[in-house]
Amino acid sequence: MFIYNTLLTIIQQGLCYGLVAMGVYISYKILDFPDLTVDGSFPLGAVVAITLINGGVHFSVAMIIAIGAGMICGAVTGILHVKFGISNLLSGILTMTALISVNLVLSGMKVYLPYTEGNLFNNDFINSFGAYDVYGNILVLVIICIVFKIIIDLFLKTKTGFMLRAVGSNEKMCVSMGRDSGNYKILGLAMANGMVAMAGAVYSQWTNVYDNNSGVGMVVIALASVIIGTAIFKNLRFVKGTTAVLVGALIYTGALNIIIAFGVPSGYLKLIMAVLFAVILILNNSVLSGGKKIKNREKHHA
Amino acid sequence: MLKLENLVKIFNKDTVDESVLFEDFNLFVPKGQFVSVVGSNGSGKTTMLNLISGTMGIEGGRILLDDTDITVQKEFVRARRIGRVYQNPSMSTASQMTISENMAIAVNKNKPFNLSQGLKKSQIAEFRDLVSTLDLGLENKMDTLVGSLSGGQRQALTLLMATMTPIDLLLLDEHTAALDPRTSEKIMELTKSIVERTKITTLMVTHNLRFAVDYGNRILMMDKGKAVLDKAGSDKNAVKVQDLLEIFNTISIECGN
Repeated sequence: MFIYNTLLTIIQQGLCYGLVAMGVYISYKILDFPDLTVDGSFPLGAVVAITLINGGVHFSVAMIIAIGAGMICGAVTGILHVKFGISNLLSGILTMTALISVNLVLSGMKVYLPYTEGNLFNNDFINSFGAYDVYGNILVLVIICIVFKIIIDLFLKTKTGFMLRAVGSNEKMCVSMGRDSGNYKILGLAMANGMVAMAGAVYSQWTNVYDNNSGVGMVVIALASVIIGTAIFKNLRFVKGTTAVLVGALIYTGALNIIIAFGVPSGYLKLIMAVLFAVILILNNSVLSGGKKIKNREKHHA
Repeated sequence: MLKLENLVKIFNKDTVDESVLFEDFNLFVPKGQFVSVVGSNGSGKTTMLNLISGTMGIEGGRILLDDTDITVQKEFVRARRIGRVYQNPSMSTASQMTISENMAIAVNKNKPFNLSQGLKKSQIAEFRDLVSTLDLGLENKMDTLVGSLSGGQRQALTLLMATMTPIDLLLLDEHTAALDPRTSEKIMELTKSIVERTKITTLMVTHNLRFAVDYGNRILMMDKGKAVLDKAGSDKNAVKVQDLLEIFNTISIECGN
């Protein structure tokens, strides 16, 4: 039973992180932009959602506004980078740091806030599942993931999506087409962080509480998911990137939860997250990409 | 038609490293002319292309393209009328996208990149026909990522993509320099056929003197920001590789090399 419950938790948490991963997939994989705004835009989405929902706004409207708030953050990072020439890492750090205060102000200087009104996981539909509401939660999460996955997939097939991919692959290409590549970067970052903020809103509703620190380490979770997912499906081009990162998120969350299930104190969580991510990066650089062989050969020649 | 008027280009202006490349450079290229530009390193060939395309700004003078002053236009704005092929085959294509997808972007140049479908099924057949004219077997690789093509294949594709939509000026920046001799030859033949067919005004920078002599209808030899040889039409046809080498040697002796 314990194992089964752990599995159910992994699925739910993994799908929440999968939403973040799909956002980071746009910034990191499509745009080739290491965006640290994520650590701030995730709790921003959560605080916007909880403030509005507790204020009587329907959760669907609250989530759309959360997406908008996240998009603004992404655009700010993009503008700092594109229009003012601040490096990509620094732009993200600036926005992320500013958001720590913004989130506190929005939450009324509270670090924790409980949901007082009905939300995405506390409504007539979910409650109709009775004691099995966890299945309802999973159903809702799966639907959200699939809807957003399809939206992103379709977007990437449009002309705008093509140009976004071209900018990530080779900025010169965009310029040679007579377009300002900077605008596409801003657009991509806005989309990515809108997605992340939505994930934050979903996650906080799932945990039924707003946690000001919930964004800490979110970049690591998202990047790990993206890298695991894309590495696994590297040679299967028919598998869409979005599908791959969703699977990656489930695997990474699974690995984290299994380690925790062995009784490691929760205070070690971020350490485990970082170590696990480091292991994944090292594996990705050597075993998975075959880079190790080349290295050995070089040594042999030397 | 391209007109460079009294161009001034100074590198590291107002520093101890200040160096003046163009003091008062003038060039007039009539519509449809194919100019080969040669010259030693540092003579200003590539800088000239950079100034025309807007990669670099100028300190003085004017650049006119068909009577429009483009001097202060940003690079991406100029790119709407100027196509450029670089020495590095990876510069003008998206390596993470397929041949079809790259061509779909290129054919949409100067049209809105909106939320309509990026690559239509009907386009693929059209692109395949176009690519088959390259005779490189790319027509069977339409779904291959451009990043996995060879340098020559990629350069041929780049050239094709740059001329898929009507442009007023084509800049070729040592576009065969990274290729093996046989492939270079092929790319040059392709260049010739495209330029002859579309009659685009073309500036080709090259280090290959034979290409400069064999192709195009005007030859320009540059040294230290000045044109030391400028022959067009029948005068150009009389120019031999040997003549160019002699000028090169004279310049080198003057420099004390």
